[in-house]
Amino acid sequence: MFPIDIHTINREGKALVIVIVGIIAGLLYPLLSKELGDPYAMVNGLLIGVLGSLYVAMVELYISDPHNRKRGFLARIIRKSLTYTIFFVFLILLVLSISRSIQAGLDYLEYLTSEAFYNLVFKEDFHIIVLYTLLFSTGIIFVNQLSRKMGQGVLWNFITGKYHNPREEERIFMLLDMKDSTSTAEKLGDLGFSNLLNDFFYDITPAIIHTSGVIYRYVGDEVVVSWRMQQGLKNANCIRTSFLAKLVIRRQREKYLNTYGLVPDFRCGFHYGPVVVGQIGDVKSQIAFSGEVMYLASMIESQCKSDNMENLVSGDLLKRMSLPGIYDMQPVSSIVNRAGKKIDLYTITEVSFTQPY
Amino acid sequence: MDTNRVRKLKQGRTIVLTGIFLGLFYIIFSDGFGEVYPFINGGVAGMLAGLVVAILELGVFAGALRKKRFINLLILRTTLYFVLLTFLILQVLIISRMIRLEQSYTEVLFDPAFQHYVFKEDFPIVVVYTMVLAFSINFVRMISRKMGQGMLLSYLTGTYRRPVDQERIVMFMKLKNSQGISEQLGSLDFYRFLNDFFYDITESIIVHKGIIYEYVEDLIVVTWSVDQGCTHSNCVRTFFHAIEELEFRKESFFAKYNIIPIPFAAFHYGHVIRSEIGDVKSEIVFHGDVMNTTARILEKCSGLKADLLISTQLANKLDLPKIYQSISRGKVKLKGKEESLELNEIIEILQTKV
Repeated sequence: MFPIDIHTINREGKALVIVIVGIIAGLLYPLLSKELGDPYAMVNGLLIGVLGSLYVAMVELYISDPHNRKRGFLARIIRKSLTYTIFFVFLILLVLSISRSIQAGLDYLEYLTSEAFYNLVFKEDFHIIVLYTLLFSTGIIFVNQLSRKMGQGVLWNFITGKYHNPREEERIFMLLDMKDSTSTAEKLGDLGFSNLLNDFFYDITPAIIHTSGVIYRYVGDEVVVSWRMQQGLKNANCIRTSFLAKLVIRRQREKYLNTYGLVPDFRCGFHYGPVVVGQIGDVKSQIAFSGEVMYLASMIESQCKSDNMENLVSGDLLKRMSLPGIYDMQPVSSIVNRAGKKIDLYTITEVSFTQPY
Repeated sequence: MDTNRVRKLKQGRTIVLTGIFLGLFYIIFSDGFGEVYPFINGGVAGMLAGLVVAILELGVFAGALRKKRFINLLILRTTLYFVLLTFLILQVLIISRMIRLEQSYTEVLFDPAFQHYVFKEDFPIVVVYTMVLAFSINFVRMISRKMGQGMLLSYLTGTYRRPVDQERIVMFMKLKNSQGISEQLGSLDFYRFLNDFFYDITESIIVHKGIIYEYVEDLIVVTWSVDQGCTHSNCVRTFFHAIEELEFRKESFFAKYNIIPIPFAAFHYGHVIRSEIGDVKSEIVFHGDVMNTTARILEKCSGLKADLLISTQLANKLDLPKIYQSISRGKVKLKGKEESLELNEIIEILQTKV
């Protein structure tokens, strides 16, 4: 089934990453605190790392309410790091006390009432462990949320400097544009329209991510999405995005009708070609694409409007793709690029499957 | 004093104060409140460290080093600060002991108690604390710069999660003959050329309180709050300051590309809706007629042969300094607009006769 929320996409993979980070963090602490030789410390660290990260993965990926995603950035960070720290403090205390009671050869309850347990909590470096946990969880959560804000892969690309020197890449582009946005904006007013756009973008985001699309930018009521060739062509991912997004909006239509008195609809234009990708600007840096394909994709998108089509895909792109059986294509019209070459445009529809009674 | 120096002094003050705060903060965690001298040590070490960092940040790292890769800069900064600060903290500790115990430098250094403190006690934790701080502060600062002025803070506070209506001054700035330059250089070199251009004018924008909104090909969009843009005619000064900045770098552009970038710009002001949009790849966007109008004014620059066009509405709000002159260009019909708009051109007066 198609996941309606972003964080349920590829859950198992993400859970694995969280657990690995947990194990590393768990093993790192005993190393830092010079308890390297002590097997107990290593086992404890490992145990805390595994159990803790399993809990985090469970909460993050399987339990937390997707609708809470709209909470503020700061509120999210504070709430998460506090709840996790409290959980971790108890987990660490539990693991340490069990391990110590085994070490001391005492019964667990006996150990809890002993002087040694009191010392562990109040005299030893327990408060440093708590601080370490708080800092570690806040740090990870902060970077995670930040990376989400910046866009898929953007933070990583800044750090590695992949596009520090501009390079040429072949990419697929989709321009997704809201229908009748001018009249909608007039009807709702600036603030209302801004809210509608925000809800709309928020709702279609999972459809884009699920099909490996990378959101490049928002321009007014338009989203520009791009794919690396391989990922966009696989399963006809790029085409699928637009149909998934339609489904998502359909499922949410009641909410839109109640809030705004209308359900947003959109058109998409698709094309592919070479672009120069580079990190531009010192302040407010962007990883920017530039190339004729961007311009052509936007021409194709406006052609949708004049041909009154839901989507238009360039023949060049369709030639590279094997279209799954559930889609049909029909030639519609064509545009001309700067060099005067004609680009044929096709529209993709879903095959309607019917059965006799 | 010119604005740039004032700004750097203010930043320096912030860094030093932060240093003192962090120095004191650590002591609270480690030694409790029992004695006075750890506080003095922490405060002094923090202040000195702040001074060193301020000098490096505002002097060394503000220059050509900006163009280095993010990861290299991050590693360079972290190691540099780490080594310097560890050394500095050690010196402060030694001098503090010299004063308290009335010993000489070498006596303190070879004092077993001191050696015990450095190798066996808290000192390694101080070192780790310094390392972690150096790394995370640099990381956040550098990312914050990459995200844009005030962006990280706006995300944190969630100021624009609900759309906000604001009045802002907008500048659209573009390169002359960008199409021709792009064809001449080829797309990859054009990109490098553009990026050099953007890096070189960035300081001019920041110094004059402009907020970079976005880059679209060779177009850069900058905004000011009406108050900050009008004070000191900051918005107009940005443009001419950038031109001077490019004059300084003319030769290096010519050597590298055989071309010198020449910008032109349009200014206007009005109401915009500012709101945070998108869940992933969030952006704080401006919506409003003023964005569209400014873009249209920019289109008029070539027809009117003016490097800086400004709506008369905005020009009247500015108290222009004597080195600039505002010339009325009358009412101009803008593409896609019903009513025509009155425009002014602003030029620099290079020689003033008393």
